[in-house]
Amino acid sequence: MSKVLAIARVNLLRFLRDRSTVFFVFVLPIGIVMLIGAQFGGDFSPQLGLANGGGTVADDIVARLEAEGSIKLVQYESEEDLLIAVERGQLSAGVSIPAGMDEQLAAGSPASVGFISRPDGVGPQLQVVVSEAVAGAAEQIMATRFAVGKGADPTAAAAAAASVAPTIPNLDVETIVAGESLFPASLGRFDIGASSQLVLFMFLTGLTGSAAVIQSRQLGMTTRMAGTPTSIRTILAGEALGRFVIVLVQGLYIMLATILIFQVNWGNPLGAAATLIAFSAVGASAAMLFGAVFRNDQQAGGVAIVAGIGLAALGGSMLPVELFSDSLVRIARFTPHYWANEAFAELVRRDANVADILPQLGVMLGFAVIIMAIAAWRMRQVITRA
Amino acid sequence: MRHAWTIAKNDLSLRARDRSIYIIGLVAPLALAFIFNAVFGGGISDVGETITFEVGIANVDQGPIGAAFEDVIDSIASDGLLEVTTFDSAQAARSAADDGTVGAAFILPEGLSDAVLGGADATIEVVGNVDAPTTTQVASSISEQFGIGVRTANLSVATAMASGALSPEEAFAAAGEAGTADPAIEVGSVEAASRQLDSAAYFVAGLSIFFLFFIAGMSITSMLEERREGTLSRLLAAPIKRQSIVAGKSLASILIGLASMTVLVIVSSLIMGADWGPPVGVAMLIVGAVLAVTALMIAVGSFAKTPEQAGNLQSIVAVTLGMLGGTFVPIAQEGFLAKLSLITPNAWFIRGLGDLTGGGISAALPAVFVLLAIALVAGSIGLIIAGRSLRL
Repeated sequence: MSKVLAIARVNLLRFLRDRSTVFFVFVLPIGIVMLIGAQFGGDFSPQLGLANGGGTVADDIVARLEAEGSIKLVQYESEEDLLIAVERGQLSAGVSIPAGMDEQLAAGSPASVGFISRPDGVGPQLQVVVSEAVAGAAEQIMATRFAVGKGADPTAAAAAAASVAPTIPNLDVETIVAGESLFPASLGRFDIGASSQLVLFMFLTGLTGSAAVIQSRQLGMTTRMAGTPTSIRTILAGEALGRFVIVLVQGLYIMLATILIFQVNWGNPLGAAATLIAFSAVGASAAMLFGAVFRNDQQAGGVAIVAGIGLAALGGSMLPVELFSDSLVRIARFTPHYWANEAFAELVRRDANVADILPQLGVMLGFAVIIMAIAAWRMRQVITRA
Repeated sequence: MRHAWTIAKNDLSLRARDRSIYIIGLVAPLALAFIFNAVFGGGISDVGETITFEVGIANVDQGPIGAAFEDVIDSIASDGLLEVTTFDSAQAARSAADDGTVGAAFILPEGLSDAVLGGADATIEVVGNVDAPTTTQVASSISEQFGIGVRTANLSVATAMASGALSPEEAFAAAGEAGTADPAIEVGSVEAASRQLDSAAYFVAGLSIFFLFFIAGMSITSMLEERREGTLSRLLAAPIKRQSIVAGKSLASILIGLASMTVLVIVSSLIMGADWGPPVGVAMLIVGAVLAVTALMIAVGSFAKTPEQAGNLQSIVAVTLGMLGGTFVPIAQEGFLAKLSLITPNAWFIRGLGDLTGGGISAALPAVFVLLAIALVAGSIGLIIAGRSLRL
């Protein structure tokens, strides 16, 4: 047993003494959690650009748009700037109010407000909001024109419209929000990002760590160990324990750092610890598999990045699985990440305890046992081959 | 120059035999782009198709106002913006919005028409599902716009009556006329071209330039490896300028980078249907990106003493710039982070490609110039430091 621990200890030391560890294991995950929090914590309201030619009707339109709580109004100097911003996707849509609209309306000629949007995305839907503001701002002009059409004097009609307007009943709209949110408002802005990145980085660190397993082989350390009175089983156990501790260190670090820096809520502590341990076992077994299968560490490194990031994306660490299509969810279930993310979702969003996440823990341990068995079989072959 | 070419050729044939270059240059970006595209599928920023909103309607009013409202909804639905389900009771509509069967439900309460025609305030109820904020927003805007229409018709009739142009007897008939009057201010649609890449092209672009950093990094690491293996001293002893050695090593990386990016663009348009815009513009941006990234990697790597150090430094720079440039987490288009991301060649490459698809080659030129400027500045720094530090 002490031999197992000694091998594991050497592995951990080699990991911690590698200078790039500081960046990739300790700085990068927190940076990404911060970036995601900064992006998704902010308000989601679509941005509507505005190029205002001026005038009282224009000001009324702007005031009505500003009163609309769900959009963010951004001022632009010219219509050309506005157009390019919309084309680049910096804005969801834009409104261009031409100069001299008051005079046009007073002269009875038709006026037009430009609504700029791309054919894709939420832009076209904002047109409804703009039309509503424009229609509201135009009501007295409409009423005056109608009365003039019936034979009234224009000045008298305008005065009548202004005096009658406050007495007209409103047809109001009451908007109620119903249902239970997938992502409750009580969820901190960093909560989803933190658990999904925890899962991504634990696995990625495990896989990139497989380079060390390969180096041990390349440097002949493994064969030399096999030459001492140490069973191959012990060597494998030591290497695997080393990988396990490294993945666990990565996970624990992210968990503690996000609690301290971002006050992230990880739910039931026992459940979080159990998930961390089960997923560390998955990460360790995957590292052993890579270490056994690949011949040189550069190849392993390249494939590790693809597998580490790709499986994480498929398993819901980049976009929550709740937003996946049904067929994609079926694929996601084949990744260990899916189960770890599910476990954290239960713990964090649905206040589950250890007993509630037993199925997820079971699946993760199943992954670990199967992958480890394959890795051990392959590793035994590789070590004993001359 | 001849020496540089000899060194580059030798490097190329060595690298062509290394399997990891194919992983980094082709397999990794393609595989990840494929997965990202499947996962994020059109959901990235605004790229994607027009959305249809699922709404429900319960018209308990049964009067002219309720009927007029249903007409409005039907006409919007026929434009494809709404998909409408009709409910018999307010309760059924509410529970459909509650469980998310519809994104939002309109409820026209009993007595709505009587109230409006009788001159009293009335209310249309919109029940929105919490996870469908946009649908809720649209539904409530449609209702508000309808409300304004009714109010404007009322105001028109009242104004005409107040100014003596309409008698009370004529009022009811005139209300219908006022309600269908042409709007005083039209809202004219200007459809903007999209200066954004489709999602397949976006992910291939982001990932190919990310992995390009690792290809470019080999220029310096291979020099440092030659030093460790003692072959650099032989090169230095030969009648070759130091700058030629650096140039030769860089040239090999540049050629591999160009080949990798070109193959990625072609393959992604063939198998993923990515739309890249005019080939000449894409070629200009690829050249700009490869030069900029190679120069940056030489500049960064020239501070290192061993291949491992260089590799670490370069990976850190590559990952940081990739992260800021939106390779892993799509960066929002506005705000501080969007500005910060413009320090990266990654963001300029993607912006240039977007401008190219929407505005043609001339629109992409600014991005090409920025990439070339990065190449020039970083390249000069890199060549000076690397040339100097080429010692044993």
